Amino acid sequence: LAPLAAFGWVMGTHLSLYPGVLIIPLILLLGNGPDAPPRKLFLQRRCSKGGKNPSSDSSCQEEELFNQSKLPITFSWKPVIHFLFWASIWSVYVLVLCGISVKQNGGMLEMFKSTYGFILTVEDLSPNIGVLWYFFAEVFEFFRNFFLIVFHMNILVMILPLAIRLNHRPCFLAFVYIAISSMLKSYPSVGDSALYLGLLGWFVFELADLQFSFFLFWGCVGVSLLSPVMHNLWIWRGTGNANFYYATAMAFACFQIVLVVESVSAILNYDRKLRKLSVTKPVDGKS
Amino acid sequence: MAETEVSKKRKRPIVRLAVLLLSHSVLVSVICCTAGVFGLLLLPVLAKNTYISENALMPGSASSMLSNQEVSEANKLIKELNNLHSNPLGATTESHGIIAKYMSNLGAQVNNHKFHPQLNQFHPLHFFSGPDSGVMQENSTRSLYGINTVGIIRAPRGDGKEAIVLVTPYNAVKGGVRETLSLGIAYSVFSLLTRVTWLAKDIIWLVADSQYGEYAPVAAWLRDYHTPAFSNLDSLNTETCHVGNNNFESKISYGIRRSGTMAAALVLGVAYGNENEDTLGIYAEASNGQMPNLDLINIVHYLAVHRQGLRVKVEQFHWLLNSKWVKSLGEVFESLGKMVKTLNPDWKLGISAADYVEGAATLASSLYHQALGVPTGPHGAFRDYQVDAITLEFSLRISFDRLDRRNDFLLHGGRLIEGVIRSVNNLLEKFHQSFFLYLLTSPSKFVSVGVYMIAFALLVAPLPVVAASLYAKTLDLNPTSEKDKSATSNELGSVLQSWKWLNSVKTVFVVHFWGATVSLLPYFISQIPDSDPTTNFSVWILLSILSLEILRWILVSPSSHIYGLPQGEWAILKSATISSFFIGLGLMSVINFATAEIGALLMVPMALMAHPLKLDVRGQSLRSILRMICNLVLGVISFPPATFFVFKGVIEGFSGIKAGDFWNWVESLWAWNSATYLYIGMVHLPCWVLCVQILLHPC
Repeated sequence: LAPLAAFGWVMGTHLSLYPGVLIIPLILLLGNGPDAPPRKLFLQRRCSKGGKNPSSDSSCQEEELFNQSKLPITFSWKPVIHFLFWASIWSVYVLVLCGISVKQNGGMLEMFKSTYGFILTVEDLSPNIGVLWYFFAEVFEFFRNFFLIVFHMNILVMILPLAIRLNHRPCFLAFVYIAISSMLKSYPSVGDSALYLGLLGWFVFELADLQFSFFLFWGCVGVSLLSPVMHNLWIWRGTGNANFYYATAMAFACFQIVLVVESVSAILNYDRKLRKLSVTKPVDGKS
Repeated sequence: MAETEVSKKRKRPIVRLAVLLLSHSVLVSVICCTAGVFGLLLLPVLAKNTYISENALMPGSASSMLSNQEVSEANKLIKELNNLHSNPLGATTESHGIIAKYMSNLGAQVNNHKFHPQLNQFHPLHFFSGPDSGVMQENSTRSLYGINTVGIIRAPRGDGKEAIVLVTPYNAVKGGVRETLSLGIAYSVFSLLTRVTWLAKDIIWLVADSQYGEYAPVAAWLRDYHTPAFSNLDSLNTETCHVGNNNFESKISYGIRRSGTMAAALVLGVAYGNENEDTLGIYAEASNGQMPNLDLINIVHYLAVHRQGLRVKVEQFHWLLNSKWVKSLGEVFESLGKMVKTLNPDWKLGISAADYVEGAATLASSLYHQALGVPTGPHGAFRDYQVDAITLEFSLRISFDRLDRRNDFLLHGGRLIEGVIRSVNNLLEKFHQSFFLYLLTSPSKFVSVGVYMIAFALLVAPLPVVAASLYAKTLDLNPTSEKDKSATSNELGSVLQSWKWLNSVKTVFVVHFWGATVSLLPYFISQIPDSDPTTNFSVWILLSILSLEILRWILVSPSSHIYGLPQGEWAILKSATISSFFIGLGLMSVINFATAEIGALLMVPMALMAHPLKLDVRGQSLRSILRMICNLVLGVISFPPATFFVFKGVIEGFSGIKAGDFWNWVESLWAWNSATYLYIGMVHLPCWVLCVQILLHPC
């Protein structure tokens, strides 16, 4: 499992820089085991059922379910180190192959500049469905580096808090990372949105109570139909300008943000509901 | 309990307002719809007088320089053209040779432009691409060609970067005095402009060969003008042409000479009229409801009325002028205006009944022609390249054979054109000051987009409100049913309950896909050789019904009824229908506002009022019976062919209607790449089918 995961991660990061943040959910997934149930809930079921797990050595009381002094660590580092080893092998392999093939075109430095450097420095400002091109068309040269740092930190800053909050659900963490990076990356496209919308089906039970799902759906349909019309009005007919097209891009970003926020809150509500059920059930079972 | 208190404190005023709106959605929709219709009827009262926005134009501030000398030269040209007695095959080349000779005698640069007229093609998706993606078909239409003669005056003091274009469509094959008179006016102006000192832009005079229609030569010339082709076609294009009787051998070289960007274009035409005075007709609509800048129309109107004494008219619907209810509405508005004036003399909302009737007839015609999306003259070709252009049609009282009347006409018409060119000559930038989006209620009154958008917004505003309230109602129905289900299927059932709306959305998408299929069917039907419009129309209807049944059988699964509440399912379907219709209307209002306005007038009442007939029959109250009758009437009228036939019958009488008329009308829409055709096929028709499905819903 680990070599395959390492290969996928290395290829994803090599092709476009942003799947690199998926290393965190990967590590969590490999460390906990791919089929592990969410850790906090597993803890409570185990405690309430009264020590089914042989690896625990502490007696826990049913009344104090939230005060656990000794958490049995089920996180094993061995698969993670295995994964990192394989990731380094694959990345060295890919870089060597690239080095051989780009030797006559300027070498590795040139390759890094034109691929990762291009993504990071946002050189080309053609209109796309993202929100970056308009900003960088207006920014003064003096402040360009500052704004570059701000926009890239926008994604990086969200990694750690999400990892802390959602570390018991690494698959959903991966989904949220993909959603955020496809929205805020420097050159987004509709294909990136298609990737995470497809992954939405993975959580269809957990996201059953997604609020505003109807409104979000019709909003997305409306914006995706309006966007080519505004583009035509701007470029071909000449009766619109860039603001029309950028307004649809902003509306699209708004809908994506609402989707991400609502899905995270829906997952957390689902976890709370499960926790409540797992607390009340043994009480009912007992009495 | 603590949580509910906290949540109550957190409800902000905007959430409370939204909840209030949703709970009174019926009242809101009735008020908004009536306000929208009332706003539309009020538009002729709200029209403002036109004014020249661009200060540089200054129309009529210089005295006209056209004199009888130019008129007599024009008479020479007219006489020579009328005396051509050749067969139709040589008529074009001979007449164009004469015109070219006269042009080059004046000192202008002449070139001939050869074009191949493109026959009507079916490409409705042309809207999403540029105007020049129509490639010349080399093999099929090689035999048919036309020749445009173009003369260019280079401005002595200008830099050659801008040009003003005069277009005169001329059908040499048909001939006649009327055709040559427009050439006479243009020639008199052209000859004057070779001698003036104030010219800052180049003047291009295009004599378009209109034997294959007036629009095609202009569009072909514009396409070749704007797409430079770097090849040695020039050497291949010189041909020797022999004309039988006169042994008139001339080497005609084809090519294209260019000047610069076009500031404005005027298309001239002359028509026989039976008016009481000399009139000038202005046609402004281009494809997809685009209009030229209002300043261009303002200049022409000002100069025609205040300098040349012509009467200006724009198209009107004559059947509205005679209709009784418009007259009574006009009287109501007149009395309302008087009442408002007594309240506050500063408010000038008064309008006389006759003015209202005229304004309403012109407004309806303006709205209809913009909504069709078909250009009303050859000036439409210019709009694709963002050049403002209008068509001017002169019509005189008596026939043109009397020489003194003809000279008078040439003088006045020529002075008008010279005045317009002099004004446009003053421009430093393109027309940008005045409005691009407007409706005319008379040649000197207009309604701008900021005013007519309000009526449309009021009409369309109930749609999202009703959709949201229906969806909220079905959500409220869910918790009561959960208690009925057993505990084991609770989780699965509740999950599928909250995603239940996906079934209705699937139905909506299937119907829209069917709508797209129906829009594409005429391409295949028109390939059937030798079929008359009635057969085509009936084949189209049969194939549409067949495809609808096939799609329904394949794609809509019967399993959706298992988890659905019988009460709530039609409500979700109606909510989804209204949402998709709202999105379609919004999109169309960006593309062509007039189509969206007429489409909303026809379809919004039906979409809002749709209610299953079975429930109404069971209801048996006055309200439900009224609603049932309204639904049935609206359901019949909103069907696009039915609307067409009803209106045609009301306007022209029910005796002469044939089924093929609808096919001809739709054919004109798709032949001109009008987005209205796509709207009818992909927004109006699917919404109608879905509303009928709601009406016939088995509960």
